[in-house]
Amino acid sequence: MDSVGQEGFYDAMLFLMIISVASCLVLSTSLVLMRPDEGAVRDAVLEYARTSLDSILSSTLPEAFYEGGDGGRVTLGNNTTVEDYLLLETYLVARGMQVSAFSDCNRRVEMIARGLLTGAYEFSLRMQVAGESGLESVVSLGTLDPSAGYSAASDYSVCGESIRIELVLHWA
Amino acid sequence: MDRRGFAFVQDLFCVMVAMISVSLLVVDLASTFAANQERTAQKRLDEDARRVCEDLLQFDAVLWEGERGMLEEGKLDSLDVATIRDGLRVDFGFSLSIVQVADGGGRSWSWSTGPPMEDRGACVTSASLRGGGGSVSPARVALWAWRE
Repeated sequence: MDSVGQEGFYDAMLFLMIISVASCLVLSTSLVLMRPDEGAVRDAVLEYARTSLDSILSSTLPEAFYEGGDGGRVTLGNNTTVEDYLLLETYLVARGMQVSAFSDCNRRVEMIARGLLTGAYEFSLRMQVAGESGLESVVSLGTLDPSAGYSAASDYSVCGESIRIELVLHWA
Repeated sequence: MDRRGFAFVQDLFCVMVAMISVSLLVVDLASTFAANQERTAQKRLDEDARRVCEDLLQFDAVLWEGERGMLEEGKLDSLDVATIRDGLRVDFGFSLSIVQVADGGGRSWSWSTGPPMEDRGACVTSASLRGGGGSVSPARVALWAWRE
């Protein structure tokens, strides 16, 4: 192989290297571009959590009730909203009442939420009250570990008690 | 093989390497461009779907009554594709479904301009549906949009 032939060979190798680096750059750029926009997805799920929480809370529970302390049934108004029901439950449970007294209507609220949120999401609907060490969970509905996921919350003040109702969503 | 023959083979090899390299680059560029185009189109469809969903939930004349997100049940039955299309000024194909979730079963409604195209934008949101006797139940609103 003469010196001219060798130069041509080295040029070709150099060209191959440069083109390979350029290809890698282009490929990595396209891979980055093709990745889903995580910020937009997050915003969409948060917006969905917000609209879903609003819809659940504004729903009405026909013939809502809970078990009173003497074992009798305490009926609420026929068009009691889920919001009013959960606030009442949270307030009473925070004052020492058993959650089991509300189990029937809790199951109905859970079914409404599960029907609305489709199978794509696991959810947790939790009611918290402000205690000495921050918010304390009093009632929790749903199957999701409430520490993880996208959430939307509404804050209330009931007879001096600060209550938060929070919906946490996560892809199933 | 004499010296000229060897040089010719070497040149041929160089040309082949160069052609393969350039081809790789062109393919990369083309795929990046195509992915970008697809992504932009998908994003636009998603935005259109979301806009229509938001408009739908504020559609005074037909669906809207009271606070945001309240669809009036009685009026859903009288809706048709043309009404939705005119009211929301939609210039693309869409498939809309509203599923009412209620204690002891609900109802569902759906409208579509035709069979959906492949590239679709989607919006799934929640609303409230006002029924008779002051009852309110949640509803799942899903809208798919596509360029016709």
